[in-house]
Amino acid sequence: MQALHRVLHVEDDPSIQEVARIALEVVGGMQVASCDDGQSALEKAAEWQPDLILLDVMMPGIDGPTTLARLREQEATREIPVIFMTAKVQPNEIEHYRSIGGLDVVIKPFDPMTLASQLREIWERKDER
Amino acid sequence: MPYAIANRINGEDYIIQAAYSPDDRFVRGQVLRTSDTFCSAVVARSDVVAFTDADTEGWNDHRCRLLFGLKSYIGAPIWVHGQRFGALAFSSEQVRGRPFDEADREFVRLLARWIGATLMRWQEVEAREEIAGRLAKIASQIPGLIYQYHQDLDGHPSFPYASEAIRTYYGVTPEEAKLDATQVFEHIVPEDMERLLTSISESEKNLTPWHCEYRVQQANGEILWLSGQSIPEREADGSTTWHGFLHDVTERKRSERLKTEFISTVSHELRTPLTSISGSLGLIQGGALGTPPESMRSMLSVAHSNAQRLIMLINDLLDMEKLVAGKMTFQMQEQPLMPLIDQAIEANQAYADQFKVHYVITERLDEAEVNIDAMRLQQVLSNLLSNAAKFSPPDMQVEVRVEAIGERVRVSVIDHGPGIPEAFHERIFQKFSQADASSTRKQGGTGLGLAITRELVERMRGSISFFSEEGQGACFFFELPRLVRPDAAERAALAERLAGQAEEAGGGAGTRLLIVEDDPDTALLLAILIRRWGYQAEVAHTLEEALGWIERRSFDAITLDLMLPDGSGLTLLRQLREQPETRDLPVLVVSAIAGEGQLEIGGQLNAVDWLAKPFDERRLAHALKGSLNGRPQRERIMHVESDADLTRRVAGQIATSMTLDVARSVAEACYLLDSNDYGLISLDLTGDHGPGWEIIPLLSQLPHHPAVIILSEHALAPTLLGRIDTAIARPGLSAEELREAFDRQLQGRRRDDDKDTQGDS
Repeated sequence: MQALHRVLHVEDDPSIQEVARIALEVVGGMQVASCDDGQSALEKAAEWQPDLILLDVMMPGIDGPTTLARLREQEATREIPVIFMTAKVQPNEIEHYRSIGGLDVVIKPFDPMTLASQLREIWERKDER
Repeated sequence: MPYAIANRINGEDYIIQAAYSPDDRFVRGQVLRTSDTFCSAVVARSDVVAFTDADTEGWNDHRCRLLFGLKSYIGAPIWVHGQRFGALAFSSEQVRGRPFDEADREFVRLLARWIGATLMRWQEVEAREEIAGRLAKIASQIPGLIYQYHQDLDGHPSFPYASEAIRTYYGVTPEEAKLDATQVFEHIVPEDMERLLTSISESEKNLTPWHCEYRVQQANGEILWLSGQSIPEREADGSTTWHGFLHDVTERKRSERLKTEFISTVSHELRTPLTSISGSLGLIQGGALGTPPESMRSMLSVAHSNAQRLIMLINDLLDMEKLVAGKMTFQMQEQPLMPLIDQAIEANQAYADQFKVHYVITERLDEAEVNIDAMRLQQVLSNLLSNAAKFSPPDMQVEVRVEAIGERVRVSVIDHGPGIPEAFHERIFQKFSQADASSTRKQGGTGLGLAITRELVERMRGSISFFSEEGQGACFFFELPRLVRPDAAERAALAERLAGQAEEAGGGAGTRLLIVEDDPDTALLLAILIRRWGYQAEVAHTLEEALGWIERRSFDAITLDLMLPDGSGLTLLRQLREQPETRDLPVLVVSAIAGEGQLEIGGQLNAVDWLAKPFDERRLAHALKGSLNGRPQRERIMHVESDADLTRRVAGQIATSMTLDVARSVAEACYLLDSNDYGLISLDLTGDHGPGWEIIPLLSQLPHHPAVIILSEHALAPTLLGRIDTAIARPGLSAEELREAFDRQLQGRRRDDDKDTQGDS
């Protein structure tokens, strides 16, 4: 299986963007592009073709689940796996995010030192689903 | 007689209730002394008193004669509700010309009784009016609607009673609603209508208390949330009346919504900056950005650990809020307890390492099963384990004990720390309580942990407590109800009973299935279903048991679970397919991971069907039928062995065309003979004694006549043994010879059967 390398991070808070970028690039050795909202994520994903999209749930404009639905609608981004990132949620909410097509959910606040390995683990399990 | 009086007498008080008196001498409300009247005699006698001339009939010196100058009198007592109320009296100052006869007395008596009855009715009406007045007064002060709601047999709704609030809620008057409540329903918000009607009809059907919260739209367009509850009663005609109360909960609903929104906003808004703060500090601390100077390290560590604490606090607050509001969902599942304990200890060991503390399980209860939410139980265990580690002196161990206490299982976490001060015992499970305020800083934690833990345990129908002596450590323990599963004997009894039923029902008798399933409940369920459909069923809980059964019996089909304690069901499946005798044996995989198994095996194996758990009865029946269909009718053979090696050779030879059951004891053979119809029985008589020898006398009692073959050291003369068809000397016997002998015997028997049938016709 191809290794997880290019991650598109969609997050409206610039500080979190920065922390996640360092966590994935410096700690995880990945290549990261960041978007502030769902609309620009749709364009960036189509053009850049990341291996994975890390998608915040609560965002101004179109939210995470809607962004995922639109990603699945456009040909160029249909197959790109998506992991949701959100504040602490109930187990049934996690189930919900999985049921609408997210690979899994990463809880905020995340541990920056293990974020990359967390994403890799989920990524490697994706074909079992 | 000019005067007529109805009075009420209470001791010496004589109160005139009604009077007819031409000179207005006696009027209503007038009070006399009882002993001043002839009525005192009526009271004394409790019966009619009558005289026409007081002077000549012995009443001349009565006070009434002297005070009022009355000469003739007739009076009768008035009774109300069985109590003497007063008297009805007619009197005159003149002597009556004709004496009172019995008819006069009876007339007055009847008249008094009639007055009594009338008074009784008046009193009742008065009492009712008083109650109604009281109810109206109370109802007008209650901030809600008190009502009786009635639905007749056609479903026509009305409110036999409704307090004034019905105007505010539904815009109708109590009088309008008394006749018809259809208008009331027009105000219900359409989305809530179905829920409301369902709740009413359920309450009506089962006569259970009704409760519902729903919205009504008022004339000015405003929406009200109403909450109602009532108790139904069935009327003599089969219709139903509810007695209850409705009130406006709009404000509560609004604040609930606000609170939820607020908490969710706060949660998001606080987490966003915290995510970047703790993230940045985490990257620095983790060395992702190079090594920070020594002088900064301790401050960075303070900042990082406090950011972490803030996160914990927010999480705990949210949990607490959800618990209190009843919003926390629990995914309860029946499962073994010990694996969860092991998991929790593993997950918390890293934390305990900070305090140089080690967890040790001193008692286990591997068979314990509980009905809980695994994630919430982890939260509980994690809290108790981390507390114990935090308060434990370094290099000490924290003990975990799991034991059965009656029908419950108790999990104890025991530390050797300073213990809990006596004074704090009462408050320990309260919110924001820590024994000493400074310990919040010293030991970390939010002061919510134990409060949450208790809530969680109680929501999972458990209880939590502790004991501790200051200086002696502490033991926190929680108890959960243990799942009681029927034990082996009960299961067997149940299975037997059901097997009996199946036999009565007939069905697919003679078809035998092996159920390979590790979960005893699922296995029991499968066995019950399969036996109910008239098949025979045996159960194996492990791969090893399954192989044991397959070696000794032939089955017409197997249901196979994939996740077995000693390996994958797929291994068994592959093994079956490698053996010629089981190559075509239908296998129905019944598993939660049937889909995955199917992928792994691909289309390589024949005669395999897949059914995902949880299965429904209908699909299982269908799949089984499908698996068994088209399977040729096989001849059934019983082999009674004393030598397993011979059995293997026999089995290897005949398995593809015949069904072979092996019996190793007389009891087993009898059981098999009872439940099966064998075409051929082979007896291993190679030893001097053994089960084969003991079976011989039984053969003549069998209702059918199977062919019988004996395998012995020497060729015995069949006739010596009674009903023996063939005797084969075992030494030098080839497998083919054996098979041919079997075939020959079976064919011979079939011919005999045909003959019998023709003879009958």
